[in-house]
Amino acid sequence: MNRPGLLFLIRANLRRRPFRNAIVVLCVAALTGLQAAAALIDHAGRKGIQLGIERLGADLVAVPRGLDEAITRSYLDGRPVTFYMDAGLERRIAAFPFVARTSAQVFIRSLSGAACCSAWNVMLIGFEPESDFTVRPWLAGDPRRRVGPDEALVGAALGMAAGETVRFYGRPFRVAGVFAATGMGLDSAVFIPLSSAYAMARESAAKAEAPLTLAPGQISAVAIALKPPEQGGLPAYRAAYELETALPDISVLQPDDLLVKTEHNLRRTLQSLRAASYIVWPVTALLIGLVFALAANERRREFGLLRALGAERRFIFRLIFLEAMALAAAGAALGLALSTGLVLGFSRLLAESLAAPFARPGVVELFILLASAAALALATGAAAALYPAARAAGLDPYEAIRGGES
Amino acid sequence: MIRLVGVSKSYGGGRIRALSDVSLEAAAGSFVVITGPSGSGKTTLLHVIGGMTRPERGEVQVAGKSILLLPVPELSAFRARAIGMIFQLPSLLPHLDALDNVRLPLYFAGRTDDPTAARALLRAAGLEGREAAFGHELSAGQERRVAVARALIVGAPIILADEPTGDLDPDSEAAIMKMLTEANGRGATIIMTTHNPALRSRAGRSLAMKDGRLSED
Repeated sequence: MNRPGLLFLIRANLRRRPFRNAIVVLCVAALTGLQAAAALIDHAGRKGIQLGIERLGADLVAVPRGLDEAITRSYLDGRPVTFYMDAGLERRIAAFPFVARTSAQVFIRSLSGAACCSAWNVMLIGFEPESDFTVRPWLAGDPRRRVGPDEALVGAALGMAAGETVRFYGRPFRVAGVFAATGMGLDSAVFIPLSSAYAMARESAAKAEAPLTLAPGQISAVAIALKPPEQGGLPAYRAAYELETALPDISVLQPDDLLVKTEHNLRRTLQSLRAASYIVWPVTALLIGLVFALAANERRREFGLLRALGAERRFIFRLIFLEAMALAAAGAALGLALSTGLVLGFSRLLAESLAAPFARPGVVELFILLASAAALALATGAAAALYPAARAAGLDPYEAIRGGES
Repeated sequence: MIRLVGVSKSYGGGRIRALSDVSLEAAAGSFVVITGPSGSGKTTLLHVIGGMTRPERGEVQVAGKSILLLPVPELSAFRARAIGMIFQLPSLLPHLDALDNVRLPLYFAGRTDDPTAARALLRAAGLEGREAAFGHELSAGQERRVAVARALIVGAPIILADEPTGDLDPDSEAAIMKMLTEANGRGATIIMTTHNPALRSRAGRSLAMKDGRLSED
């Protein structure tokens, strides 16, 4: 049998006003949920893009002139793009003194609704296993492992497992590795050796529902690694400028541009979420303050009786304060559960609609993000309940009892 | 045991004089009945003795302590252990059932919870089987009996009963008076206000109150 005492009274009293308490809980939940959702989306977007930039592995990426926007979008949302330029550009880029290494890539879109392709409408990236410095370092296990002509590396979002066989344009590939998720468009990409991409194009007329138009000597992009400054290297922005000035057929993408683009894409959503939370915040604080001020007034007689039974002032203070905190905690828990569930549950949809990557936060990161939002809700509840609690605690028992009678 | 000297108390900035130079001595274990019309100051007097309000003037000693000199936390603790209060109007906490209402003072008095004693008191009040009832589920008489049981649970040496039988049926009145008389028999000092002249005979001493002044009846 539970002993009547502080927590017992709080529990009993909270049960007494389910509707009023539900309103307070919902307001706190809205505040916490909006804060947590904004923090989660912001964090996931930034983390995703950082991971993506690391995954990209290149200091610069050269593409045909004017297509840097298209490739940026594709890196972010995974929608395949195809464009080609002359492979000779790679040699010209490699000749610049500040360039340490280059590696060519070719972008292919798998067919849609075709039996010759295991995954429809995905981005296939042909890379040069011999010169590559962007893809293989991310292979789990042995980054130096050779990727054979009939092998593919796949992004996490495609749901494939190592050892499976996938088929594109009628050509089979064994999945040699699966990349960890970044939340970027690259999660939906399939990497195959460049020579196999050309062979696949050659054979596609016979093996696929539709031929792949790609000729040897065509590439889509050149990944560029710059020399360190002490070896004659340049900062990325200077190198990009030098390359674009000297080679008018190319645009040079700096991976940091992806971060800027992501921040731009996220800004409006985050601003909306934060603006909503800034509106909900004072409303919630006001509501809690008002509800508990009214409750303190309406329960004057009850507090007077408790004081007459021997309750100390601090007991009355704690009674009201902890009731408010219990509601704030319940609201915070509800808000966190809903926002976390919705944001993480619909992360893919969010990433698509925001055109931003989404990398799930780790357990510690998630805890810190959620704890911050919860702390705000609890602090709001505490601040709002402080005055009503202090006022009720200061009542003279006799006045409180008589006041309640009138 | 209870000693008031020259106690005055007013409300409304001095416009309403509730107690006017009241002095009272009640020995330990005595049963004192105070009669008087409504508004004569009876309730205020009990609240002053219980340390629930401070008079403007005078001295109040209860159980050997000058309660007006006690700091608020000590006064609360003193009230929890030494005073059992029965209020004129319904006073059960609405969200606690009868049994929990009776048990609650034990918490404030720092005593071990004793549901058995609480049930026994409710039984003595004729409320066996009504332990789980809330205030709004009880009749006025039953509710008042629960309040009496609550005032007695701690075994406080002083019971202040403000019109405990007012407007009640004869059965409830008899049950309450029996409980108070038994508590008095166990050594508790009872100060009871009432409109009912018939109850004066149950007390060892009867006082009358009029316009805030106390006199022997």
